Order: sequence, then C-alpha cells, then structure tokens
Amino acid sequence: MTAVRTTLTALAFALLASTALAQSAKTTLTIDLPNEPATLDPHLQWNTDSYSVYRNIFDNLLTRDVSGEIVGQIATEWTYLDDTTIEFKIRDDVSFQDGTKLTAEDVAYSILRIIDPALKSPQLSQFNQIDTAVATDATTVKMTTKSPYPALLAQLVKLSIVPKAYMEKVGAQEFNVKPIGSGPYALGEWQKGVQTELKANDGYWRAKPPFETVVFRAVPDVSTRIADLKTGKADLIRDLSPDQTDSIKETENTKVLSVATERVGYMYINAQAGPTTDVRVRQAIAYAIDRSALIEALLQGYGAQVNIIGAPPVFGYTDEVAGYDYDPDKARELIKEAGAEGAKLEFLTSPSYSRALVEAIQQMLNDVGFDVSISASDQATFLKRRQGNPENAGSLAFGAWSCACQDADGIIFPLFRSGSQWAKYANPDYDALVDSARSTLDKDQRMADYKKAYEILREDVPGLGLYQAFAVYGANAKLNWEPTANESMFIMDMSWQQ
Amino acid sequence: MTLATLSTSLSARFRRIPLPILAVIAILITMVLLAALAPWIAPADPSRQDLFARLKPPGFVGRSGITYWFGTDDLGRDLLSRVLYGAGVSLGVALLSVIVSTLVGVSLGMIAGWFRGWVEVVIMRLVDIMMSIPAVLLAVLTVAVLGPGFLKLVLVLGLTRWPRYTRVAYGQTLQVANLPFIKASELAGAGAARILFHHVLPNIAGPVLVVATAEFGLMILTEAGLSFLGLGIQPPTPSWGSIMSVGREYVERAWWIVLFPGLSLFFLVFSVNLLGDWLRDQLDPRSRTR
Repeated sequence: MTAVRTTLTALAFALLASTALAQSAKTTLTIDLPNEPATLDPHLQWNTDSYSVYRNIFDNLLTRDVSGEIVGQIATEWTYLDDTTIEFKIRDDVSFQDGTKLTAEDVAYSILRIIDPALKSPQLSQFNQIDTAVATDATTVKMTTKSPYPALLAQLVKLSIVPKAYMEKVGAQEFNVKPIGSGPYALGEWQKGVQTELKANDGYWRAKPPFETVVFRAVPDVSTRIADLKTGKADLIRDLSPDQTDSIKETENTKVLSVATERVGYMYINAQAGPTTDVRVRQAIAYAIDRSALIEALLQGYGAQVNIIGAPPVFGYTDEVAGYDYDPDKARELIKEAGAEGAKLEFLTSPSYSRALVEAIQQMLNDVGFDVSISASDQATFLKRRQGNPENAGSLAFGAWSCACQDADGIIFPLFRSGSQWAKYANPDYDALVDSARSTLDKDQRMADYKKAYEILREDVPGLGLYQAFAVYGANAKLNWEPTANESMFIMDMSWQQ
Repeated sequence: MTLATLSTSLSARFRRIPLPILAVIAILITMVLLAALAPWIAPADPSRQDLFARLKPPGFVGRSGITYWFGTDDLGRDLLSRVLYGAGVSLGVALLSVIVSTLVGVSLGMIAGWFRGWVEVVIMRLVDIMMSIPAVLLAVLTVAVLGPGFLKLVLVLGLTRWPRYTRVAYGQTLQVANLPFIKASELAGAGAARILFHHVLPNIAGPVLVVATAEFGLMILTEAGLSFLGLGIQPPTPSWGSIMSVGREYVERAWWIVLFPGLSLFFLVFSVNLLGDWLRDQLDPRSRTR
C-alpha cells in the first residue's frame, strides 16, 4: 500500500501570520504549570509539564492541525515505498537557533538517537518499531520499520528534531541544560525549581513568535496558581480541577478553557489474582459504577461518557460497543452467583489520581457488597505494584491514560496485551486481534480488529472505560488560544487580544 | 512512698482547682464522651456519600430531610458525623502513642538512672541522637517506608517521641536513687525491678505526667499533620487532619470543611496544654513551698 500525503502548510502559515500581526504590546506571557520540566531534552521525559515547555524550543517532524489531522512540519511530504519503508522530504529553509541549517542528517540522527537503547529514553516503547533511518540526500530521509506499523505517523508527531552537530559537540548532559532547537522559542534561563524562561526566536521560519518572552513557572499548589491568574501574575494556568472552575468563571478578566482530550479515565481490574479472577465479579464491578454520577457530580460535566477504554480523538474508537449500565441490583446478583459477597478488594492509588474519584468509586462498590480498601502510596511504589506481578498488583486501580498518539494501539495494546507490564489479563483471541491491528496499514482492517478487541474487553472486563477526560485551563480573558486534544501547549497557536 | 501515698498527696494539692481549669477539664471530658459515643450520636454514617449534595453549607437540608449542621464535604458526606468520628481517631492515636512512648521512655530512663555505667552511656547517647533528628521528619520517613495505618501511626509516633520521657525519668531517677529510703530498701535486699517499680516510679510519676500532657497535645497535632499529608489515617476513615487536608482544596468555596475540624483541634489542644501547664505548676518541686 502506498500513500502520498502533501500538506497544506502554506495555508496554515498564512493564518498564523495574520494572527501574529494582530499582536499587541504584550511582551511577556507567564504560564503556571504544576511542576517544572523534568528534562528539556525532548528525547528524554515525556510528561505534560516537560513537553509543554520543550516542544516550543523544537520543531517536530510532523504535527497535527486544528482538526487533529496529521500534517507536516519539518517534513513537507512523505511516501510509503513499501509497507515498511517510508520516505520523508525535509524542508530546506529551516535553521537551528545557533544559525546552523537543519538538514536530513539531523532528522535521521534524531530518529536514531531516540531508538538507541543506550539513551534509555522513557519514550523508547513509542518508537521502537522503527528499525533505522538514513539521510539519502540533504532533504530526504528514508525510514524503515520492523514490520508494517500503522501508528508510525501518529508517533512521529511527538518526535522533536535536535541538531546533530551541537549534540555531538556538547553531549547529552549539557544539551539538557542548554538545548538548541529550531523552534519558535530559545531557552533563555532555566532556574531549576522556579521557572523556565524562553526567548522568541525572531528568525523563526513559520512566523514571528507572538510574545518576546514566555515564562513557565513551577507552582505545585493549585490554589496558588488560581490566585496568580486572578491577580494577573500568570496569564495561563494548567491542571485545574472542575470544582475550581466556578471561581475563575466568576472573576472578571479570567476565563476557563477546556477541551475534550484523547485521555481516558478508566478502571483497571486484576483478572489474574484475587477475587476479581472471576469474570462475574469483574462484571459486577462494571455494573456497580455509576459513571454518569461521576461525570455530572465530580467532574461537573468536564468529561464525556465512554463505553470503552478509548475516546473519540483516538483511531480505533468505536461507539458501537455497548457499555455497562449502572445497575446495582444486577451487580449484587452477579456477586451472589460468584459467591463473592464481602470480597476484599484492594484499590491501589497514589497522590497523582483524584482522591475524590477513588473514594466515590470505593463507596459505589461497597454499596453492592464488596469490601474495598484504599491503598495509597507514592507514585513510584504505585507503579511498581501496578506493573509488577499480578499477585501483588491489587484488585483495582484508577488511571487516566493517554499515549499522546491518538491510536488504540497506544492504549489497549500496552494495557491488556498479555506480556505487557500493565496487563493482568491474558486472552489469546484478544492478543491476536491487537497484534493484527498493529501490523497492517489497512485502516478498515484495523478498525474492524479494534472493534472486535473492544467487544472482548467488554465481556472480560479486565478494565473499564469511565470517561473521556477534559483538559481544563484557566486563562486571562485576553489570551486567544484553543487547547487541543493532545494536551500540547504551543505558544505559536496563542495570541493576545488588544 | 507508695502509689497510695502519692495519690493522697496529689489530692491534697489539687483540692482547690481554679475555675478555668475546671472548664478545661469539662471540655476535655465532653470531647472524650462525644468521641466515644460517636456511633450513637452521629446523625449519619460518616462515609455515606451523596454525590449530588457536595459542598453544601452548614444547615443544608438534604433530600432525605436530614439536616447537615456542619455542611457536607466534597463527596457529600455529613461533616458533623465525620468530625465526631474523627475525634475518636485523633484522641485514640494521641492517647495510644503517648502510652507507648511513656512506657518505652520511662523504662529506659529509669534503667539508665539506676544502673549507670555503660548502660547509662548507651541509652543517653541514643536519646541525644534521637533528639537531634526532627521527630516529624522521622515520622514521615517511617510512615513512607512502613505504609500508613492506625496501629502503624501509633507505633511511629510512640517510638519517635520516647527520648523526651527518658530524659525526665533519668534525671528524676538519679535524684531519687540517693534518697535514704531507697538505700534502706536496697540494704533490705529488694531487687532492682522491685525498687524501680515500687519506690522510684511513684516518685517520678509527677514530672512524667507533665511531659505526657504536653506530648499529648503535640501528638494530636502530629497525627493531624501526617493525615493532612496523606500519610496518616487512610480514607474513608475520617480524622481531623485528613478532613482538613481535603478542605484545603476547597477553602475558597467551602470554608466549613476546614473550619469545624480546625476549631475542634484548636479547643482540644488548647485545653490539653492549659491542663498540662497547670499540672506542671502543681507538681514543680520549686512551687512545692506554696
């Protein structure tokens, strides 16, 4: 199968340029994030607070437009030579912030660097289907994958291009502190634990960046972030709980921005150890959880109901698989059938997850006759148990999953494919379907596979989709910005209203 | 001097209890009663949620006609019931941990003061080491390793606070050990255990009691602090610290969640501290001439 994709980037640039012209005298934009970036090396940590900052320093090979379609950024077009070989044409008018020209060599180097096991990148699993990449001339990169890999383009949206020469000169450690990219902003000063200051790259190839200076501050306490926004110390704040939106809406000069994301709130249910090995117990759990109450009351509508572990922006999402209706009587019946009255279920959690949500679910399960105890630990211990052997992995956990690749392969493959560290479930039929869906480029075939896979998950309930999560931001009323489903925070998409 | 004579001497000293102290004692007794009777007097199950009655103000009347006198928390639970049940947890943890640290601390202090020599050196240097580590930090670390839970919390608090008692018990034992009647019973052939328990302990009980009351207040605060950090009592069991920890997120919208457990905590610790101060004045050797 061969597909040729050409991008409409010129149009996008024109649009961006016009918003840039509408700029006012606002020179410094201040953004409060809950944490400081873990790394500024884009090939290392991938978490929201890190990439919110560093993705403004770098350009990506591909990106997504406003509608969520994959379009080129550093690549202008790409062609599948065969199922496992793809050729990218690279822009020849892009320079890094140190003035050197960005070439196909840098693109190939960036790919080889992130797939090099020696780098120990936490993002390795997202890219390890790539076998190799070579620059065949100054503007062409040929990439091969180990097998046909349909999520490749979606994954490459996350690949930042780093300068080969500079990286080789200074080494990874120094690069992390003084990164150089080709993006709209260059690192000004990184005051560890306090703030990261970015300076506009005036020669940026797409358009003039909208603000001269952008300051990302680490403000862990949400009340402080809200106070900063209200008093004008911050122009944009991330990670608000729905309960806090009212006070921002009520304040003049501030507004709430929210967007349905690809992130899905879900329950993990251990199918390989404890009382939940009985499928009737797992189904009873599904019937016992009142998802609409969670969304309406706790999330205050900042969430949408889903029947599967997946959300509409994700490839493979289907609304044709039935969900479990809230039916506590049915749940009690199943528990009785399974002889699991009063079964002790351990609910793992950590401070990273909403305490209210966990406690609300605990109560719903206790109401139908389970005895659920919450085991809260730090995130590291939580992950160790959740990813460890089934006997020690508790019975339940809540999670909010996003692969930032908008593909079911990044969700239900790692979560439930037997052999994956997250999976506490094994079903050969299911494995065959998700394996097949990740090794063909045929979209219809993939959709059909995922639909069947989701049907199996519905029957077996090794996990339960609860809701599509919304990203909620607080912003100054003058900031123009449309947050996106992949939770990126590109300054180039923002502007200031006079 | 035996326990019987100690109690008569104490009662003689306490014959005239000033009014504020009586009030403080009344508050404490009321709190203990409320905590003990919580299952019978609480208007609702403290973990009963109503997601559609979240963050309601004090006095709110729910769908079932029940009045939420202290309002509701972020999961629609009755705050009054939670504060009442939380009192039992706070008092229980504080009382038990004070007992643990008293037992450990006083025993070690008496042993060090009685046997002297290398035993004294080992115990008292250990005390110095323990006293130089911030107790709350030690508690946080221990809970982080052991995991949270009611009994673990009691042990952690009890086993980090014993050195204070050891110092007092040690100093007092040194003084008492040289008194003639101790020498007499030693000459009469009494063993160390008998002397320490029957003759030394009653004589050092007063100062230890003063330390214990001061520590009691501190334990309540530490429990609240650890629960506030999520390292103490686990949900859905309420404790004042964990209720306030949740309330902090909502302080702008729902002030009552932090106010009621906060006020309760304030009154309890204030009363205990007043009582402790008064006890100290009564038992201080320097004020005995009064």
